[in-house]
Amino acid sequence: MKIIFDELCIQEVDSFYKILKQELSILQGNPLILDFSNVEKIDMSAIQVLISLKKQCEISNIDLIYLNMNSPQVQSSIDTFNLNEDLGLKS
Amino acid sequence: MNEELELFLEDMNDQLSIMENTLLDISDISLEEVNKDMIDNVFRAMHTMKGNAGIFGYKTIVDFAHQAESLLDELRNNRISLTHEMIDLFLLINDHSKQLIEVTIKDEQLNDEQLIEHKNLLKSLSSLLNEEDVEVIDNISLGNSVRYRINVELLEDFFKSGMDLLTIMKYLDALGTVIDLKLITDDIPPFNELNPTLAYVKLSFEYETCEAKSEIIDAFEFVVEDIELNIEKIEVKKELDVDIDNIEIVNIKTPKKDDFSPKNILSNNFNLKVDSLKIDKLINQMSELVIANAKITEHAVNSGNTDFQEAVDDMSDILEDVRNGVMNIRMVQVSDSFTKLRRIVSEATKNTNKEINFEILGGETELDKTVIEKILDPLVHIIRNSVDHGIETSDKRIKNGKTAKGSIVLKAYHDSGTIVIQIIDDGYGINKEIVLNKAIEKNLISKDANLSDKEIYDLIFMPGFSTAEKISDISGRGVGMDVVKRNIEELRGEVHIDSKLGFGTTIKIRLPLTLAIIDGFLVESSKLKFIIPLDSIQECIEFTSSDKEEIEQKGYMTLRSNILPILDISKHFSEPETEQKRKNIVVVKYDDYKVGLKVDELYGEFQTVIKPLGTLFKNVTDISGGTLLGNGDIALILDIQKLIEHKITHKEIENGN
Repeated sequence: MKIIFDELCIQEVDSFYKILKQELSILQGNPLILDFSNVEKIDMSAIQVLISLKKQCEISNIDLIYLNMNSPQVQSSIDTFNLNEDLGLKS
Repeated sequence: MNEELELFLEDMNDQLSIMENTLLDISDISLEEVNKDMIDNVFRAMHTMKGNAGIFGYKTIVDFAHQAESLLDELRNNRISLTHEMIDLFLLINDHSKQLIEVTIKDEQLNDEQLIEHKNLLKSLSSLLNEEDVEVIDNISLGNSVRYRINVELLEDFFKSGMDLLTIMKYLDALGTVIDLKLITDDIPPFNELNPTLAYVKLSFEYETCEAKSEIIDAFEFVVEDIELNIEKIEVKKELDVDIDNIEIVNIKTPKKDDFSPKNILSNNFNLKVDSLKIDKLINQMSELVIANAKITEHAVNSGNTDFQEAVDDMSDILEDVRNGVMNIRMVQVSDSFTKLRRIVSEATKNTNKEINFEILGGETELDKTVIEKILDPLVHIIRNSVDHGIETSDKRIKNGKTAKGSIVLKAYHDSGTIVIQIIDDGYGINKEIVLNKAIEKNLISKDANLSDKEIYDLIFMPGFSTAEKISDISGRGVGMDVVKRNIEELRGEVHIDSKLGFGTTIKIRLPLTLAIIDGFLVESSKLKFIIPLDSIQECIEFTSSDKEEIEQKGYMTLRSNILPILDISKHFSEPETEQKRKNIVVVKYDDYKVGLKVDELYGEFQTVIKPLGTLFKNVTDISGGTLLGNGDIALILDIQKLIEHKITHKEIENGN
């Protein structure tokens, strides 16, 4: 799933959450792939959603794969808050 | 440059401008007259700059601003006394900060010269702080870092504050070192029960810094009501496995020592920074709306339906208010931009050993921001000329019976829908003989040219003209006054010089208030529609048969015992005269001149969107643009300034029959 937002912040987080919820309901055993190529910026509200999503995927045995998390600001958030483990990223 | 950086740069420039302006105010008065508000102003500007730079992680700026802020803090708490050297130092700090910001946002390094200046300024600041045996060392702990354990719990509504935690962490990172940060996520609910707009996380980290604890608290000042914050000094550097639930949480509010914290200022005097392109887009859309409204009004009038007409009239009134509001967004007070000129006079005065009192009158006058930006360079040039060539040295002034201190006044005011900016000095004045001889010498005019005073002074605006006996650092090399005039004319403005030898010179610039939409007055002449800018209209009168006789005999008409030259619009534009029983005179004013424009019909007020006419009309100087009427016809906008100027200089006022 390619994330359509260029910023994942408080203004977008509700829509983002609803999209993820819908995506989860139609996966039928397939991995959930999140493509961040559009995303330039992420804030703590969206990080919370991703952490909760990761826990949900673990419970439901769904593989969660992140693609193209390349934006400097997204990387900066991951590094500043030491999110590799929380999000299940390779450190 | 991205939008965030542009806003950062704009805000930093605003703060530098406030700081510079206040410092210049301070330098204009004696040290005894300097009050706490002035020092607070400078401190506040420096404090805000430090905060802004911290948010972006610009450590060099933060460190530099911090040192300056420390000295200002000592001053405002009366622990040290202000000196003239300190004022000069802060002005240098202001200049250097500009360079530092420029270099930093370009991701470049200071060059060797700037680096030396940077070090020297820091040295001067440290020396002033140390010399006075200031008790600030414990507070700012220069060189001695302290470690803290910081726990931050986001309250439920944290995200509504609009602040991003990453921004705060970057600020802290610029002031010290964040160690072993843990994001505590235990309270985040299961995915299906999550409310994504509420905050659930906590942060726990150690923090090593040379800054005082109050500085750390300041980092959280924008979110102080949306977090629980606990900061504890720790003595031993060691890894702590902290269980945040066992820590006693104390909600620390930002101390009230700074009543002027950015948050408080924002709540009292809210400013919104908006990309100017968005405003331009809004103005363009507003223009289209005005044109659409004109069409609806036309239909309403033709329909004969009074209810419809009333509704359209109401809508037009509201639209006018909205239009004025939108146009006002672009209007800013000229005083902010004029600060730069004060500095120029201040610096130039030091370099020339002249004493000059520089005064700005009407600084609250508002003008379109685009126009202000474009007029600033010409003003700089004119002011430099006044300092260099206009004002005499104190010795010469006293010898000539003048006060030792010269005067330059920058005056701004509104007049007839335009803004007038005057630069008035009480210096030498312009010697017309020297100007004439110079012009002849440079083959700009013939030896036998018979010129009026105005024409002689206008020679100064000719390319390459200079009467300066020697080139100086201040006013340049005699090039520029032609550029000054060209820049002003590009803004649809004009510039004139008036001077009296021995008494001084006045340079008068007149500019349009805005470049987009004006209040116009719709008239008709020879079946052509014209718009006259409403601000230039004095009154409308009926053109009677006795007026006609008077004009035929004398070439003008008498209005309340005053002579009123008449300009027949149809004749002026070489259009055939129509058989019209009643004709009208619209009395227009520009500067000190009044002229009556003879037209056929008066239709009344009309909101006018100024549209350029294109190259076909480039030689028609008396028309400043066109506008679209409700029925789709085009009306031409009369350029009253050009019309009056042209007629008066050519002495072509018609006899009006």
